[in-house]
Amino acid sequence: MINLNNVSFSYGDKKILENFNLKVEAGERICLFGESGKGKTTVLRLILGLEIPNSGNAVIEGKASVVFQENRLLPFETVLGNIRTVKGDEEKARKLLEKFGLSDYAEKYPRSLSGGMKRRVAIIRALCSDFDFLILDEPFAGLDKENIELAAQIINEYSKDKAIILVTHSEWEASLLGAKIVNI
Amino acid sequence: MITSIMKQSKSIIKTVITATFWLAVWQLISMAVGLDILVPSPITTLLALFDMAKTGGFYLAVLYSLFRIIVGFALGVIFGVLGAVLSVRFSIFKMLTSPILRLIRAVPVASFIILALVWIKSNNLPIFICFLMVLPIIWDNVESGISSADKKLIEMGKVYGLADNEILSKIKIPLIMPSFISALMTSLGFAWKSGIAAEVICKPLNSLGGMLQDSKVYLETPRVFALTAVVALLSLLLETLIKRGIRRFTYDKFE
Repeated sequence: MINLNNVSFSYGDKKILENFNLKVEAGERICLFGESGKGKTTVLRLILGLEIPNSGNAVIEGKASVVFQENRLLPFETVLGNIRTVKGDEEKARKLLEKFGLSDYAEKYPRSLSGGMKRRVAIIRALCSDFDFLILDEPFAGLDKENIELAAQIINEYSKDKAIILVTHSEWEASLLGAKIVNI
Repeated sequence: MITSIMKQSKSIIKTVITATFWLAVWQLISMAVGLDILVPSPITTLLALFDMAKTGGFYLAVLYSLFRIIVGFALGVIFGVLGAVLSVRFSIFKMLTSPILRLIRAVPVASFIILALVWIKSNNLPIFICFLMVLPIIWDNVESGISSADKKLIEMGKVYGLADNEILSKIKIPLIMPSFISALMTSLGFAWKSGIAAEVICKPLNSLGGMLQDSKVYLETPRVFALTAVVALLSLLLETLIKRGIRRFTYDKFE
């Protein structure tokens, strides 16, 4: 499903990845673990096709959905509008908003949401689209313990049998999603 | 609801107080000077306006001036947007056109009017001048709007499988709308100023600028004041209409 073979990548003169290998099968869950600047987000960008490797090859099969490191919500669309724009399932979105306690914010613009609310909306958007694998780049940043547990539970519920590639600095967060640690 | 009505009433009261204050200042200056030919009073100006409003020529002048400015403005907007898009897309186009834009920005409008008088009929010249003044403002703003549009949001659209045309209509255009609207408002003011200036210099048939020039020549200062007020009011009216028309595209609703 996802196969990075001897991939090397650099930003200008700065080498980020050298002969990096990663294989993720359908339904598999992995967590890229390592210090900042080691290239975790770069791996995700390679998987998403946002970067092209300098050498090696990246074979990606299936449709991705993603929670970026930043929320990346459209400021000119409401919460539901943001989900509609990426052709997300609106009915599912309403259910998820309810589960996250955000039903009253469906028609609000991102500006009127707190940081934690925006994060949860970014997670909802990712879960509402049709996907084969889920990319989560520090998905719980800015959430408190209670909301992290709730978000992880909802992600587990809505991504059964789907592959997950997670980036986080917390082993506990990886364990909540049942992701196998891969050191980078 | 009540708060909104109170806010509206407060705003109306503020406007009335400000207008009354400046009308009083105008009246006092006029009384101090004591000569209508130098500074006519607000009443004399109003009477001059009523006098002009009795003639059909005044309405024709309003209509024709409005038409010329709107056409020049619209052409400037269309070509400005087109130029901006092409500049972002093709660096060679940007390289070739940037000296022309710099030239338009640097050369005084009066020079353009006098130069263009040689090539263009006086009836069409204000259209050309408006176009010339609006073009670089729209071009620059839209170009910088496109260049600075949040790349991360565009990336998000790509990852979620949006087609190029969907990214354009659902992400890029809404993102550049605020800079486009601000450019529209700025350039509209320039269109009026340059359009009327062109009319004053080249005196086309049926024009407010031509009437202004005639009034100046015959030392009818109250008419000059009245015509200036008409130009300012028409500019404000057009600005309000455009603002209302594009309100749904602006950031106001979520900022």
